[in-house]
Amino acid sequence: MRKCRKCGQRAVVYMRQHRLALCKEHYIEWFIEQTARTIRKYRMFTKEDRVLVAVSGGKDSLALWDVLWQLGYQAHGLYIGLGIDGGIGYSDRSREAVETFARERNLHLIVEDVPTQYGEGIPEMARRTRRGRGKPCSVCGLVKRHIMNRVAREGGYTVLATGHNLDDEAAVLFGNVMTWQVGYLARQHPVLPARDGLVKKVKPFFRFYERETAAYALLRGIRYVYDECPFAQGAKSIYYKELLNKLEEERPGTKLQFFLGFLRAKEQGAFAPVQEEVDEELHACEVCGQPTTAPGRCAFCRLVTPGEPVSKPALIAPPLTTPSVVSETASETGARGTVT
Amino acid sequence: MVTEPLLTEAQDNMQEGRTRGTATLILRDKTYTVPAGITVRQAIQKAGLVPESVLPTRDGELIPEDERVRDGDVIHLVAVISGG
Ligand SMILES: [Zn+2]
Ligand SMILES: [Zn+2]
Repeated sequence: MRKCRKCGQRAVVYMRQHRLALCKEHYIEWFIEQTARTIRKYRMFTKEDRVLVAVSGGKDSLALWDVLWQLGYQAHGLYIGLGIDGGIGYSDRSREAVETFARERNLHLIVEDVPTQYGEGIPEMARRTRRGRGKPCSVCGLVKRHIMNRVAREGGYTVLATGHNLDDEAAVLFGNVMTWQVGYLARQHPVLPARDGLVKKVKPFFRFYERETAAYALLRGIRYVYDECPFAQGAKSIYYKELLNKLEEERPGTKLQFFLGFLRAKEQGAFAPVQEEVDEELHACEVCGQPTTAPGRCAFCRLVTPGEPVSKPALIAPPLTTPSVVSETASETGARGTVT
Repeated sequence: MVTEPLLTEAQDNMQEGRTRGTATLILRDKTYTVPAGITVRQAIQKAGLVPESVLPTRDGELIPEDERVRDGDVIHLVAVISGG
């Protein structure tokens, strides 16, 4: 029987990669402390910042909001209703989970509902466009990035925080390495500074294994939506996560080393940004005012304004924003890092 | 040289702390039957699953991986991998 390193009682969580066993109470304490350390170490934000947390109703984003609340940060939640049902009432249940969470803790929640505002949900939008061909995840990523940045700017938030964990980041990295997406490798980072109308983006959970965020949510009694977004089924990212977990089984710490090694290599100058992208200016979209690479209307406005098709140039516009944005729902299997 | 005496199955079970019977693991809509007496971690492996990808719970409470499964135990596995 393993004992808690702090108090010697029966341990409930054992992290093989850290050789660390902890009881419930000390695991929760450890998890919160580690988050605080990561936030400080990577200069994500301070108590002065107004933080907007993107919450999907899944374990990671709710756990993040819970931790930031306990640490005393000014953190408001943003839930984006995507209009995804999938036969399981996915969006409705997610919204309910988030609203209940916020109510119980008396936290401020902003709800943006895509079908209400734009007349249709993500699946319908995806069906109309090239971008959505096959899977709506790319459209979904575009819409979420756009709304998150808009709400953050409108509300005067200085930082956008998402619940991405190490498994999310390692899977993205793995995918980008497998296909040598050099541009994406240059942009992948848990902290993306603000620029030209794009709000700073951070991932305070990027050092936690997915197993750890799930354990935290369970031990804290957070009621989150267990189900995947119906569109995430069979996603490559899930396949990569499973592969990485098999490696992790054989050699504990593999995932962590893979991702932290990548960050270290970047610091040493590997994966420098592509020069044209560094030089590229962002323009304000003529409709919504949000930053976009191509002059005129941004990809989001072209998507939601019927009549003009979402044209090819917008789709291949060099991605300058974050490689991946909202938390763990129907996110960005496709156009990682496309500017809105 | 001393040779190990052959153990009967019962002795073998006792020696490894096993008890007779089986336990059930449930992951989403699938169930797996595993022998009682082995650890939760071993049970997950025996079911052909990757321990890193699931969290074992009983009655909604997280349970340690080194705990031994008992006869009649029902252990719900929470999938930790989410997509996107
Ligand atoms: Zn303890
Ligand atoms: Zn626009």
